[in-house]
Amino acid sequence: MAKSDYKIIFTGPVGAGKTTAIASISDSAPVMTDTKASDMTKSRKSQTTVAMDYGILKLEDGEHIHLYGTPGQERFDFMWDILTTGGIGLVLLVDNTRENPMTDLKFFLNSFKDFIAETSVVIGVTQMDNENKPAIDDYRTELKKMPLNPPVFEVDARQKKDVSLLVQALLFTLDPSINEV
Amino acid sequence: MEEEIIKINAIELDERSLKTLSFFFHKFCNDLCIISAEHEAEVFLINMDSVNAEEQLERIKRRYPKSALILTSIKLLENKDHYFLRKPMIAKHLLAILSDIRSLPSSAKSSALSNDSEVSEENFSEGHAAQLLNEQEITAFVGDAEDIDLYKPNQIEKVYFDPNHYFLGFLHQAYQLAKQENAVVKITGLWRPIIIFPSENIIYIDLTDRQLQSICVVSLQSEQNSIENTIKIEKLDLQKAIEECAQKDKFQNLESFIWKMALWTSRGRLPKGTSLDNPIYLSAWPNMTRLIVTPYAMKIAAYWIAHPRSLMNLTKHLSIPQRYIFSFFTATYMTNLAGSANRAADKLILPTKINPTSKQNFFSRIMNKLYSKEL
Repeated sequence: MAKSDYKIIFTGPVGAGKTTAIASISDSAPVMTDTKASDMTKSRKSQTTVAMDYGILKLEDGEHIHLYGTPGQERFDFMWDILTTGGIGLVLLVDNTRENPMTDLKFFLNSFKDFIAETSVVIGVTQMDNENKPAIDDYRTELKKMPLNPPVFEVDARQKKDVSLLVQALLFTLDPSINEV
Repeated sequence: MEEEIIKINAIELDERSLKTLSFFFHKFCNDLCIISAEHEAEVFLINMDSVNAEEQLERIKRRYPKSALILTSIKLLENKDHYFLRKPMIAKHLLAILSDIRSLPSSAKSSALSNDSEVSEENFSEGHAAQLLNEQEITAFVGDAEDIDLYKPNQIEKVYFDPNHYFLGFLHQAYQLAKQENAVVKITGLWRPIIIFPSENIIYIDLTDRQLQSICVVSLQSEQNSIENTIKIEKLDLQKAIEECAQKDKFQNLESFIWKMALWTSRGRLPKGTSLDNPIYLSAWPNMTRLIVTPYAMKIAAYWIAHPRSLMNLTKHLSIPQRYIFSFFTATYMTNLAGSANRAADKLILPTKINPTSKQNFFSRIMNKLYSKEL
């Protein structure tokens, strides 16, 4: 695969912050394919992603890292397999204000389990300033039952620093020998 | 009449700290003080936390016996011969010293005296997102001790500190009590009480970072220090605790707070009794976005999480200064993320070095890109 085809996938339920997270680190304004929400999504947000979000990181030597956000609604899950082809890893964002974030966690980890087994996953928990339960420790406990032990960070998807640290953790889980700047 | 500029030479400060100091002189002293070359200086500011500090101090005293010396350090230094400025520096304290050395114009004095700004203006109390640390801050958290030979017993003792000789020991006790019994715990004996709410994972603390850092570095074993006898830990009724927490902006994340205190106390050292040879585990990645992220923290976590390793093994395979590994261990230990691995299997197999993948350089380039976006 050509170097310029590498991508990082952002996934998670509706409203978790995928679109915002991509926007916070993308080098160019992300392409967002959204529309007015029609179903129960409407109660969470007025616009929702129906195809995918796209952003880009432009490296110094001209290479591009593509940032793809999956549509959050399950009826679009047929696209998830397509999107993960060529991906270097998965960023899973979970909204802590949803009714059952643990169910969301398990659902997405199961849906992407083959991709995760080949690559890696990091988990960002959003909206913790609005709802602090479940706590990060609760996520860790649940993950160990799966059994997984990926990085789980509290994330504000609007904060470049938070999203950057999450992606950095993804890279380190893929290769701990990376040289830090 | 033109105001005369005070020329100050800063000794044992790295480039970034020099820039910070220049900025401070520009913003708070109206450029009435400037950093100068050694031969032009009338005042010398010496960073006593540096390894070569004593040597430099003697050299400056010999070469410039009539010059005023300002010693600066995180630790309290007893020195009656020179001026002392505690880190982190505060504008009005520095200007008071300079005023004493030579009269400053009133314009500079009045603008500074009303200003409590510190040279280092970072506030770690918020902890909302891990911050990029400058060199001075890194030193405050991980110290600057050089690596030692871990096979030489007479050197090994230098890497240890006894948490029970510092406030950290009390804090850890209180934290353990709160978590184990799921009870609100109060610590008294400092300027103001500290209250731990374990179920909410928050701590109530009405002290500034500067005060907290001062507490962390002071050994409670000193004869002059009676704080140790006054610190008390007790469980508290939830309702009563809530009533005592009058200011809602004084709550901090509990884990972030203990992490920070552990780093400030440890400064690159290990808690007494930590084995260098026995495997230790890291149970989970720390919540890095809400913690002080010291250099190589991610690398250490990624390396360590897969399999229990001894500290000797980590220092050998990671090839990074020991103080970063030791600080990271102390912080994870104090926040209950690390401990001794006691399973027979953990000692049976020696974990080997993790070899780089074929994409190492590629990932490093992505990392560089992410870092550049943070700046």
